[in-house]
Parts: sequence; C-alpha cells; structure tokens
Amino acid sequence: MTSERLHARLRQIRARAAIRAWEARQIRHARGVWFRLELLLAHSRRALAISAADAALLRADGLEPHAVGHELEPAKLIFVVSEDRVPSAISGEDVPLQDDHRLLLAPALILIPFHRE
Amino acid sequence: MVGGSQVPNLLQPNAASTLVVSQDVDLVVPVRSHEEVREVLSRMSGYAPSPAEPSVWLPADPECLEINFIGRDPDLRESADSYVLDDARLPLLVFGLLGFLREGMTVETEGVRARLPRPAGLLAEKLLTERTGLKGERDLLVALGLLMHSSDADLNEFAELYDGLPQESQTLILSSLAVLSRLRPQSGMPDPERGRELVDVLLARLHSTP
Repeated sequence: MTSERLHARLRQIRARAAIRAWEARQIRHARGVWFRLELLLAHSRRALAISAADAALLRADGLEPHAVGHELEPAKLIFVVSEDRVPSAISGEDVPLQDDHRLLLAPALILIPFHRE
Repeated sequence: MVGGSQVPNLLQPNAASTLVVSQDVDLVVPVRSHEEVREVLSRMSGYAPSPAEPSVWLPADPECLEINFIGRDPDLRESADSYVLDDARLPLLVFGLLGFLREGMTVETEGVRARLPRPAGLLAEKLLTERTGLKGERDLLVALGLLMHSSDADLNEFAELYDGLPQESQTLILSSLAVLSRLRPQSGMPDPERGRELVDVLLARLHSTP
C-alpha cells in the first residue's frame, strides 16, 4: 500500500494555502473594497434597491451614504438605515443578498442591518 | 476524537444527526497516539483500508459510514505546515489547522461513546480551511452547523482564539464568515438563510466593521 496519494493531496493543500495567504494579503493591499462590501452585506438583514430620486430624498433627510459605496467604480450610494427610519415615501425593491448582479446594477441601495442593542 | 462534518450532528440533542448528510466520519488521530490507534485497528473487524485511499477505511456493511483517519499535531497552526505521516498500516495526512482542536465533551448514543472537539477550535479550522468549489461551501455550512450549537462560552472562546491570530488569519476568518452569510442553501446541509443572524452576531463579537 502506498501513501503517494496522500503526498499528492499534501502538495495540493500547500499550493492552496499559498494562494489563500496571497489573497489575504491582497485584501489589505488592494484596499479591500470588495471585502468590506461583503462584510457590510453580512451585517445586513435586507437589501432594497432604490432609485436615484429616492437616494436624493434620503440625503435630503440628512442620511449619509456609507463610505464603501464611494470606493466602488462606478461609485454607488449605499445607505445603512434601520427599518423604522426608511421614509414611507420610499418603497424600494427587495433584492436577495446573494444576488450580486442585481445588487451591483441597482442605482442605489438601502441596507437594513440586523437589530442589535 | 470525531472531527469534521459529523460534529454538528452529534452536538444536536440526542445526537439527532439531522443537520449534515455525509457518507463518512472523520476520526482525528493525535500523532502521539498513532501507534495505539494502529494497534486497535489490527483488532477491529468489519472495516478494511481502502485500496485507493489508505487513510480511509471502508465498512463491510454498506449501512455503516466510511472512516477517514486524519492526523493532528498540537504544535501546528497553519495549513502550509501539514505533512504526511508515512506508515504501512495507517498512513495519515496531518493537517496543520487541526492543531486548533481541543478535546471537548463526550456524547453517548446507542451505546457508543464519541469524544468531540470543543466548537471554538473546530470553527476556526473550518473558517481557515481553503475553500474550493462545492466542498469549500460545505465546509462553511458545517461551520454554520457548529455555530447553531455553540454556547455563549464557546463563542467567547472563539473570540479569544481569534484575537490571538495573526492579522492575515483574522482577515481570512472574516472573509469566510462574509461568504457564509450569503451562501445559497444546499440540500442536506444547515440553511444559511436561517443562520445569517448568527453570523452577524459572531462578526459583531469579532468587532468587524466594514
């Protein structure tokens, strides 16, 4: 019986570990906007796609967009707002948080965080 | 000690084993106990080593699970430190990340006692393991299964462990949790949609701010 197969798996593990370490360094070096956006989405219970006009309404209400959105190219207005602070004039369209395509195509987003004291 | 995807199953009340569907069980062998385990295996009936994968033992009874023997060296912490323990009877792949495992509770079900790892160490191992394809997603969903059965003390232990890690490892853990939070459901695995709030709470404990 040979353990050559285990040695082959070991080589794969080491190669993947090297790639993963490189990825972790890139998150820091390349400013990591995608990493921070993913964290922001992980902290969110719901995402609502809203129009540019709705975004203007939120700004007029004194709400400032999150910094992560400014780092995207093109920049996107992302508001982190608790559910009770979303103005009734804004309905928005629920977007599944797994749907990257729709999240990135939306003109602007409201992210509703999980409630925490 | 049992490791891997069967642990959340065994942590369920009465080891209900309804969380994760898996055809095998990982048995973690401390390298210092390798010889003892080899001795026990020489007396065990009903299982034989797989000709294709020598650290996997196949059951004679198809109703039983395959056993995947994996090695643990308590001095290791990195995937890159993994090595092969060559042996004619029971060769082992010793995984560096299994160094995070610490012995935890023993469960007894249908007359069989099984030692489980403490959830914090296994959670760290699962979140730091390299993710590739469907297997990688399953690993993250196993981490979710652990979260579902972790106590407040387990989460505190995990947060302490996290605080002691190098920044690169901390980043990888946060990244894995962010990915886990947005996984799509898979049949026979814990539902990530229902677990999202648990992930949020853990991220908050780790003081992650985007």
